[in-house]
Amino acid sequence: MARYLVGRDPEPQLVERYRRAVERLLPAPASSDRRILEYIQSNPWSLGPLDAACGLLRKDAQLRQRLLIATAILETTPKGADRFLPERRAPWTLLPEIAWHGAVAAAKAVAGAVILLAVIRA
Amino acid sequence: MIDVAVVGSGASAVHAAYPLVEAGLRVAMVDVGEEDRRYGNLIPARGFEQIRRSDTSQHRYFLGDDFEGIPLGPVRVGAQLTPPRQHLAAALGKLPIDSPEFHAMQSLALGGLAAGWGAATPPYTDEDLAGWPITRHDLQPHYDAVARRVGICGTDEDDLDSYYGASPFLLPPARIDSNAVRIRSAYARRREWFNDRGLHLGHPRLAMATRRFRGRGPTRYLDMEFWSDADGGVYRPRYTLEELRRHSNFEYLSPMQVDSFARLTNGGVRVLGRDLAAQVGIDFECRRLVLAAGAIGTARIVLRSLGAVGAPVPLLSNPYTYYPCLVIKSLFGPTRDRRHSLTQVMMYHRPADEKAALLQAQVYSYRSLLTFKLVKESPLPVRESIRVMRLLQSAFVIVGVHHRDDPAEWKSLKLQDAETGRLSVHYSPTDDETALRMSRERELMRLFPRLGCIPLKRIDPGEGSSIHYAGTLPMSENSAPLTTRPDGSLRGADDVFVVDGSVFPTLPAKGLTYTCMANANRVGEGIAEWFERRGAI
Repeated sequence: MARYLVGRDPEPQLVERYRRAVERLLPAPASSDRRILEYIQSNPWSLGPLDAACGLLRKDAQLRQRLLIATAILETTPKGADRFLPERRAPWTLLPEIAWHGAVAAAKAVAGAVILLAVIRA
Repeated sequence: MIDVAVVGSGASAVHAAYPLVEAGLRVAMVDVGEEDRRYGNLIPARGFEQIRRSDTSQHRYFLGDDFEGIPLGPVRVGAQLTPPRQHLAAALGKLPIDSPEFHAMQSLALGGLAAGWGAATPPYTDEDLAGWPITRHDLQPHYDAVARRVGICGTDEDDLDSYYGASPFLLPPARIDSNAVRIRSAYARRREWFNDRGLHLGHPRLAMATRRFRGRGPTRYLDMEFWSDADGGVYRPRYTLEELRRHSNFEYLSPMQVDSFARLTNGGVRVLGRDLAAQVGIDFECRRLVLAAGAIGTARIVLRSLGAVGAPVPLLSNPYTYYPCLVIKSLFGPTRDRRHSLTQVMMYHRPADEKAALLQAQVYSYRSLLTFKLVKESPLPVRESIRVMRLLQSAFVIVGVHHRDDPAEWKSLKLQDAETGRLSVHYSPTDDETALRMSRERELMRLFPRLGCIPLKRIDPGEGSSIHYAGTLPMSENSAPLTTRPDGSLRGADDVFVVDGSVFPTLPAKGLTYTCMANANRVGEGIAEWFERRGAI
């Protein structure tokens, strides 16, 4: 998840912090949540598309909640500051960059919706 | 015998106690006084960005040791309480209440709910006080006394002057951040246009020491006010409590919880409760009792003491919603790192063509509440949300909107069980009232694009979310039961005085804390005068 979110592997203490947070904040996953999480474990490439699909179709999915927990843990580290504190962009690059992220999100969501339906119905 | 016992240590309690102690009376403050002992000492007195870049322990106070700072699920009331402030919300087991449709946050903390207060101090004008048995003239000397005690910064030279009235004692206004500068300059360019549409904006009045004041501050603009009081800039009731504790005629009794009182036949009051450390009952006598346990807590004590089980009393709370917005010019321009986290711009809105109630809107910059909470609200994949939020974050502001509240049949509080003190709340707005709120907000938000500020979403955290509670024992000239007299005394128990928001007959949109403090000072002075007239001082 850390590699997906911020492009680097987490330190062991962050993994342990994440494990404790999930244990503390989340109940055992329901069957559909479990299927999604298992699918991602065997197909790590599907994390992005399934995240996008859940963001639109299943905001309360445990995948999203786990990603938010991981985000919170990554953000509150000195190393995370560089990845989360505001970043300045020139006006002529800001809008294209936001548009690019939007387009990537839309493409992921379309692919993710197909996978999501298939995984849940499987 | 103690002359006066004051229940609670919040904003009302300390300012009621102050004139009593100054007059030389023997005053005991009875309080549970819960404190954060876990996080406060971990937070360095450094700026937000510096902390983020250097402190390896930051996860402990930003997220909490039990991860209580990671809010999953829908936006809830009290989401603004960060882990170091969560001790302010008392465990429901200690103050039982059934209120499924209304969030009733109660506090047993040292300093009460004002220990995490946003420090806005708009005074009420005569228009705000319509229907009250007291006027601005009655409150003015007490607003001034409190301002001299807590330190209020602001200016009386902008468009909010008429909403505040005369304020002879003001510290210099707080420095505002880049988003506020841009909103204010957009307003200044089309000021008449906004004024014609009923919008006025300006510097907020904040209980913040912008220069060294009574041994605290000045504020260092660390942008950490949601997390810590490290620089002593923002006023907290415990500062006044510390001053009171230097007097030999003042005693702070903690951890003690007052449950009820009984009138003594020869005058005076018997106070009953629990010593929470020794786990034994307390039972003492005083000549006057001052209740300042918050509108809900005070109502519980009064209803239990008078045996008023099942009798409904009014309950008021400012309806509150907020809007994340983007200040467009901040996407491209430079931003100031040094800032405070509290209200940057204060606005009042009333459509010019009708006699509608005033709305209050406060603009906050978002940065110090961390990105992951914004990511949670985004429909984008988390990875893309992080990247987009990082680009937009310096332009994010939160606009909090408060509506006024008036008593109605569908807003009440009752004591269910005298033994346990269990309360129940009925607070369910009519469709008409909800529609009116929405329409007023739409009118206000339609003006925002002209301020260069684009509203993105309306978030309604639910009834009670302002955490402004009032009106349970309203002051009135009519001698109805379960009301208070203009001097603060409780009808049916003349030696008992109520000084918190309980006595407000209506609740204007403006924040209530400053008026709670001023009114408490007024009632405290009145009690001191009574003792003086009797030659007891």
